[in-house]
Amino acid sequence: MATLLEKLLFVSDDESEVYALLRATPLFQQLSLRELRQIESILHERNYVPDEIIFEQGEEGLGLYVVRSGRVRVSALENGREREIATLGRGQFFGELALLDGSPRSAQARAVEPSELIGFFRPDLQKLCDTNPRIAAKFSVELARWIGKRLRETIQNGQRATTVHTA
Amino acid sequence: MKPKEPPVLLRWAVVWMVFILFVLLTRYFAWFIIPCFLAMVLYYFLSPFVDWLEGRGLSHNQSVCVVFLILGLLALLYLPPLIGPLFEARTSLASDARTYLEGGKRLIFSLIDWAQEKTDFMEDTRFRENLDNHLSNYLHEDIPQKIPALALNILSFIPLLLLVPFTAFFLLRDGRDFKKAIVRGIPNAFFERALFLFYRVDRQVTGFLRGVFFEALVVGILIGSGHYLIEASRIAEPKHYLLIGMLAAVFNLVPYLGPLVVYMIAVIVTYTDTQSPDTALWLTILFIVAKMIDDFLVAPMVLGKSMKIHAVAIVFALFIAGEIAGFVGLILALPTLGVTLVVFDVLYLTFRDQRLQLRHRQTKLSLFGINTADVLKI
Repeated sequence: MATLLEKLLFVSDDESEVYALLRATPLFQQLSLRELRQIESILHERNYVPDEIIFEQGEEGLGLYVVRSGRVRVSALENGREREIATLGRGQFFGELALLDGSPRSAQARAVEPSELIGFFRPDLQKLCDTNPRIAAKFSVELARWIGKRLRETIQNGQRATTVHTA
Repeated sequence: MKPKEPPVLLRWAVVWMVFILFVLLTRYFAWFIIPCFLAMVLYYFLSPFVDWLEGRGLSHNQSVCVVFLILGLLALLYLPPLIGPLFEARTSLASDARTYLEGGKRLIFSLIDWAQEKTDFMEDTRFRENLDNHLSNYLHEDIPQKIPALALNILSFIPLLLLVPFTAFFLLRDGRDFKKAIVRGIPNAFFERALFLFYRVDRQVTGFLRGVFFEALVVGILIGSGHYLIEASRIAEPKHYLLIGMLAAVFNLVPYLGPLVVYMIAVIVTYTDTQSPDTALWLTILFIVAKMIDDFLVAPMVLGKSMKIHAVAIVFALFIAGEIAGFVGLILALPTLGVTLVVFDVLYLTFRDQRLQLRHRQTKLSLFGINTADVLKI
């Protein structure tokens, strides 16, 4: 009974492993623990087997993925040849452009080993804008900053190795 | 490659089959389906308040508790004064059913007399006599038997209605986890597509239920207050405006037929109470104005973005649902048809996507240690 009452009235201040992961991810760093708790309630956990495709190049995207465990290989098909862009590990993320619109994915993402990913999707972000604009605004500013940073890198380094985090 | 839209014939064949099956279930499990439907309506109505409180810093559980505390307080404050006169009106309506039906009969006869006076061809007909015999039988034999059974039927639903806030509370508290659990069960290959379509269904159902709820509220207030003014201009103590307003709100859920039924009830009741034929005219104007406000102002505003179904399909669905499941069927017909259509489209588009099917098969094979590239080469 005490646990039910506790569950109804109080919130534990213990940071779960998911919060720790999100806090280490640049896009969520500006959010407080309370805000992270709200974000956490709309995230989706997915498990992938080795070699399983997470999304295909050219496919309509729905959101971003944060790697919770395992490794994910991001590659793109250029002139008929597959080019590896990056291999991502815990705390790194990919696919954030799909949060903004449904444009085709610019690369393929595939699990290298058994991987656990956390997905954050566009409809949830849109709902967050309606129900909790403060969190949505904080997140969106970070997202814009991140995309801007990538754009500057692209301009500085030419056209190579730029789509790592924008698949 | 995106899958094509489903073929029209297949789509409607499947949708009608599922619809009829659901209506049949409604007929036999109305005691379960009605509280669930009402709980869903309450859930969709309250969830924005929960979201708002969460945005103000409360946890999800705290927000749900606060919303229900406020709802409980409002119910304690406003339900007794609302239910009291309503209950009196209901019992007086039931006990005076015969008086009102006699009043209705008088109204019809005065209309027939008027028509016979004005037109030649109705003068010699035995229409009035036949109708008189028919209505007398109905009033003196059928009605006394049917009213107690009907009243008992309505009363038997009251304990079940207590389930509504209880179910809505748990839907609000655990609905999010429940949705996540369902989504977790979808294979990775179909996950994104299914999630996207899942949101679409959610958005449409939300829009539809909130729209219908708001529409019923507006129509109820319009008809209730209009009826009050008409009654107040003729008799000292208007007593049926609340009941007629609430009936108008509830029956507004039944497209086309609902407002017509309430209109007839309102005309009969008001004519019997006031003994003034003018009231029928004023009520006709009131219902026409309310219907126009509903159709041209409220409905496009609140239902514009929700599901669009052809009027013929709606009427067809109403006839089937009304025939099989009675009044409950009429209320549930439209939401059931809309959701069935969207769910069919969702499933068709998700599971007919060949690329997604292939990816799902590859994943299943790789679980057994088979290299999918080799399989594809073969």
